[in-house]
Amino acid sequence: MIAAASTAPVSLPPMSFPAPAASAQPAALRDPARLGAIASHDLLAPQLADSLQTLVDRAAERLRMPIALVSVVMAEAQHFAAARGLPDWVAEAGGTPIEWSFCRHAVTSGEPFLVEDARVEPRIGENPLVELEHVRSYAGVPLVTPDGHTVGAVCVLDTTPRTFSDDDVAALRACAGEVMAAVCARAGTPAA
Amino acid sequence: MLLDLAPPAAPPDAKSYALAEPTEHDARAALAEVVGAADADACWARARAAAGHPTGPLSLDALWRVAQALAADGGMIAVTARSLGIRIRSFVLLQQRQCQS
Repeated sequence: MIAAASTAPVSLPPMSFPAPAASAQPAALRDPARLGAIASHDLLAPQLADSLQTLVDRAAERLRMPIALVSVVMAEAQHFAAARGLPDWVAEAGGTPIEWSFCRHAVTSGEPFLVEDARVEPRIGENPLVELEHVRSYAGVPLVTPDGHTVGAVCVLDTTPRTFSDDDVAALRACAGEVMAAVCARAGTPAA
Repeated sequence: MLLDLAPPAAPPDAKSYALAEPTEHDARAALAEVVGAADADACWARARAAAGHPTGPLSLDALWRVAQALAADGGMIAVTARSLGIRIRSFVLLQQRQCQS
């Protein structure tokens, strides 16, 4: 335990900053304007779950998937704004490091990201959600603000392989629209 | 709130899944990307002071507290702080989870 005589700010020596490992992620994730949109839409507010939980539950039921999420994808991690069916330790973390994020692929591409079997999807790599929690299938669509910033994804996951139909993707897109409408209404920003 | 931030001893076959233990250096580098190096130094010093750790090396527990203090700045600094918090919690919880396997 550190015993400090004073807790006044202390000038710290400047540090040189070789890029941390997470900066191997695409530059799109680090776009300051995109991160600013996350902040300005108050996407990290705990109270947002009140507005989004029903939408997450509906997505899970509509697609018959046990896990559903609204994920806010930042540069170094993703934050779960609302969630259903997560393993306890992942729920307790409130998100995951960006290295484990499936949703980041929907964000960087701007398109739906579909995984029929994560064990053979090269973009997933070694991932505890796959190896420890047996996640196999995933479908996520981007969340886009009215001014065009892709801030996260709404997604569903299962522990069995699954093929997704055009209707499934359409249902997720509809959910994403409802999520963003709720986010904008709460943040007081104009909806699309 | 993470109650036990001392990572348990990892089993011999434990994997990191590309997540190294978060450090103060990582946190300050991420902050510098958002607000620039000079402002990052000032923000970080304020957060350390607010968390009761103005100087000295930071344990994972202390780093967590500094991240919580940093979040009070709001805006993109809070976004960075939230990312740091998630990485810290995920690191500890992954170790705990692998001890259960």
